Amino acid sequence: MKILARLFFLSTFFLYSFQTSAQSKERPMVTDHGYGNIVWYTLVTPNLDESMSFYKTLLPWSFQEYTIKGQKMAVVYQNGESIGSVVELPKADASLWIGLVSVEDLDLATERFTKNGGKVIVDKFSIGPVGEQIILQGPSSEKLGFFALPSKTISKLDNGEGQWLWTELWSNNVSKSRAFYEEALQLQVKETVYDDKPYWVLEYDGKPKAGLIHNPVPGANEQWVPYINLKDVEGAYQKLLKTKAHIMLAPTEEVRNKSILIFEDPHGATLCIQNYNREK
Amino acid sequence: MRKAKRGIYSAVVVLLLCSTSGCSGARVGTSAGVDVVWGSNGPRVRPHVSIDVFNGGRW
Repeated sequence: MKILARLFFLSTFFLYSFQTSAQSKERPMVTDHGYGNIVWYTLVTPNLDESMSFYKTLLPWSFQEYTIKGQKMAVVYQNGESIGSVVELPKADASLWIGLVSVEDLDLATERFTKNGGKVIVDKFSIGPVGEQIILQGPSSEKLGFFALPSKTISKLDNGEGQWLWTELWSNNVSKSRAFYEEALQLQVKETVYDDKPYWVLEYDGKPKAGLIHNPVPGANEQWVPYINLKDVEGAYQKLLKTKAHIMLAPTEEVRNKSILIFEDPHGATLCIQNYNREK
Repeated sequence: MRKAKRGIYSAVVVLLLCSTSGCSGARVGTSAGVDVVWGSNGPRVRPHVSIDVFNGGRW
């Protein structure tokens, strides 16, 4: 746990250093980040080089690599903007994307989270002026983190090409998950229907933050799954076929008219690609 | 005698299945909706998304 905490600390600290040198010194209003927004993603992987090589092949991403006291990590850039980080944990069984949710009061949010059945897997750690983070596990072992009021916008999540687009909880017990996140994150749940199946939108103050669906992978654990916006889904699929990734759902007309591709990267992290034509 | 023959036959079938699945890369489907791949490091679950259940994506 200490190692993981150090990894998160270092990756975010260096990210902050780069942001401060590249951006205005003006401090944006904290409301820019919005409670409940996912402001950052970190990939924990047993092999940094292999993961970077894989994602560079697939997505319009570049990486800035660092080795601090023997610890390997990298910041993910898309079109010059940092959008995530990768940290190497050689003893990890598999890779995993962890989303960090923006909260106003880390202690209060964590207390609510644990009081309702969640638990802390990496204790709170401070990133100086950037803010504080904590890594958590939901009641069904799904992982996520809290990021308390980051002092700078470190990921705009603007839904542009190659950017983070959405996050969904694939739940084995929707009622339980719904009840938990309503209480633990103070989110409101709007039940809708898409493709003749129920879809729950987790909202805060009327703004959608994430989705909740029945786990479409029977027998698999619950997990939070991130989506990346990409126009050429078929092209990504063809690239994936030449890698060691495992295709979980190939583009098909039966699912959003071929606009979605789901896979496990070569080390096991689940990721979705969606061609999402957002009206701007 | 008939039961013994049945038992022997069943054992042979099980042995054949075991030897087949022991080959590297052999796939065996499960009723849980996931595939298991036997490789050099033992079995590994290869999940797939059921399109009968999945309706995800940016809302």
